[in-house]
Amino acid sequence: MSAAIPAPRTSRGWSFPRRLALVPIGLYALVLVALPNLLLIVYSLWGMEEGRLVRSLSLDNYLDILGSRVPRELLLRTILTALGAALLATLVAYPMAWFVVRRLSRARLLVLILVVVPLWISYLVRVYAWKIILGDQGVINTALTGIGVLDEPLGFLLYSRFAVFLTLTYVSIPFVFVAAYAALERIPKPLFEAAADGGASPWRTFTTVVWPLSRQGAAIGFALALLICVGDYLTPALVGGMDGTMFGNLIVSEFGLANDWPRGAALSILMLLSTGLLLALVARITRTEGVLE
Amino acid sequence: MIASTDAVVALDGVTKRYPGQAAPAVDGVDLAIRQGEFFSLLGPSGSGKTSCLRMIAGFERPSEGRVLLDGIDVSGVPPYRRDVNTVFQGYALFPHMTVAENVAYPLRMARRPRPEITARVGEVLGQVEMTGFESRLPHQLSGGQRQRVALARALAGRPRLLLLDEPLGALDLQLRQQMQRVLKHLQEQVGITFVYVTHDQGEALSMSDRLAVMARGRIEQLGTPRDVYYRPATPFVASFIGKTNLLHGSVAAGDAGSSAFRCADLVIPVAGDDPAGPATYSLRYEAVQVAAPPRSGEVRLEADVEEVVFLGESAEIVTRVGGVRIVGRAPGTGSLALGTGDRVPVAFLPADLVRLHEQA
Repeated sequence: MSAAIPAPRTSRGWSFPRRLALVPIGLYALVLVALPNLLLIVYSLWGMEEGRLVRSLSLDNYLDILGSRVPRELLLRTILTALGAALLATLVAYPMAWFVVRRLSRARLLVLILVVVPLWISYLVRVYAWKIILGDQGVINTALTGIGVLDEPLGFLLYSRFAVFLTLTYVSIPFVFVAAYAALERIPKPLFEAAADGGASPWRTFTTVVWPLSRQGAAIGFALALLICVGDYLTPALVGGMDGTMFGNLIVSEFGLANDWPRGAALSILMLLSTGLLLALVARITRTEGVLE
Repeated sequence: MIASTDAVVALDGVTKRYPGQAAPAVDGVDLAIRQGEFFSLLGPSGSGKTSCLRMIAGFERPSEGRVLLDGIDVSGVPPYRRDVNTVFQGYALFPHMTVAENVAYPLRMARRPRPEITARVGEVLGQVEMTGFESRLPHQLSGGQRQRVALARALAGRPRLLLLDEPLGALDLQLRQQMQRVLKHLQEQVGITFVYVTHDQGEALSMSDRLAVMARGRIEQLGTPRDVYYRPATPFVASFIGKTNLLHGSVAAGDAGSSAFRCADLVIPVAGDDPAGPATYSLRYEAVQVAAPPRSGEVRLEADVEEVVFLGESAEIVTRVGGVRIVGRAPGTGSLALGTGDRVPVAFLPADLVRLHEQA
């Protein structure tokens, strides 16, 4: 040990002002993240009896939910729909971002703005727009009946699982695009040339260099999309009809109509757990070592 | 131009224009590089040397003319179908691959069998003295080490031709000199043709078998380092490589088959076959002796010292003779006695005067 210690240091080696700067972050995490979730967990362990809250801890809510068919099937269907929408959004947005990064120079900013512009518009309006497109009197059906392709409008377009899937995909695309674009943009251009120089065709350049260096970005976009889709209750409420009901609607109705907060909380926790598990899996699959400079 | 049969790579009337630029980056270049040669493209930035290299590699297509590899026109062939590898300026190592994976990359793309890849990777890493670093990632290496890995990756597939784009530019002086020797030895050892792009005349002179000096998209001179240094063809080459006095004046025929070059108030005898008319001569700093004992046959003039620039082992003495500024070299110790305003003899041999072609 050295004989002279010049100045007293805090245990982490950080000075007092730097520690002070952490206070707001800590407060934020505590008040807006940790506490509400803790509260949710506690609620999910409580119960309701004849419309009154019973403050005794038990797993009854969970056992009851997992034991009945409807919530179980709804959870599975919601996760599958959300996974599908997030996947389709990624399949559309990632190649689009790749095209913009590689092929566009002057038009790049314009395309970026065009993709992001929908985010400036209220979520409600964006979802409502699909009603106008998909409805019986909507853009697609009037056009198809108008030119005589159809005798009567396609009924499955609106108020169906298809409508929910389509709308969620549409809503997710800008998020995946931005995440994928940011990742692809960061890849140094000489690496493309180095790959070609090493004998890699454009396709092998993509599989050996571009994808490994951008898949984390794609995964972040995918995860973002998944989170948006899985918890959404507005889209199914507007365009889903009876068939298109999602798990989020169930949670809303427990908290609202049924006024059964403990059951709603348990449903929320179940959804949180299953989504978290999925995200951990995605992060694990897309991990890449190495540092971009 | 008809490419000679032993040329590994030839540029045939190659011009490259980039959109939005008035002057072509490369302007009608003819060039043939021989098998096993260490060839340098030397020039200042914007001279077109990197564009030439990129056209050979296939990253750019010539606007006019042809690029020939082994006599075959490859102008439209993409880089991944050319038997050419490049060492990039910033190394361009794949950040997500280990040293061994980086070096194996060209072999993997060529779908070579795994045992062969492993053996070859070990061999080239040995050649660049990077054995033991196989499992490191690029960000865990120093600049010099990355340079060696980039070199190993480019050599792994035993290309017909290795292109090097200012590969030592990012290294400090000592490492650069060390890597120059490594490169030269390696080239002799593997026998692959090297095309080396640099703006550093010292690098080009010390390593090349031949070099092309480029300026404004054209080749100013092509020759051995000695040719280019001692017999510069144009004022640009003379002043870009080494340090030289450019003397402008005119040559007039004298009596008895001799000629004289008149430059301001100076009259200097030159070889009798130098054509008469306006002329520019190059006279290297080191060819001018200041306050040295007389030699036979030299031109000896009395000059006034204007400035002494001490450089350590030598010094540059700026003098004025008959209205002409002539800079000479003296040993560093010899310069101690000299000062501004001194009157000293400056001397040079007529053979050291090199007549230059005026630029078009």
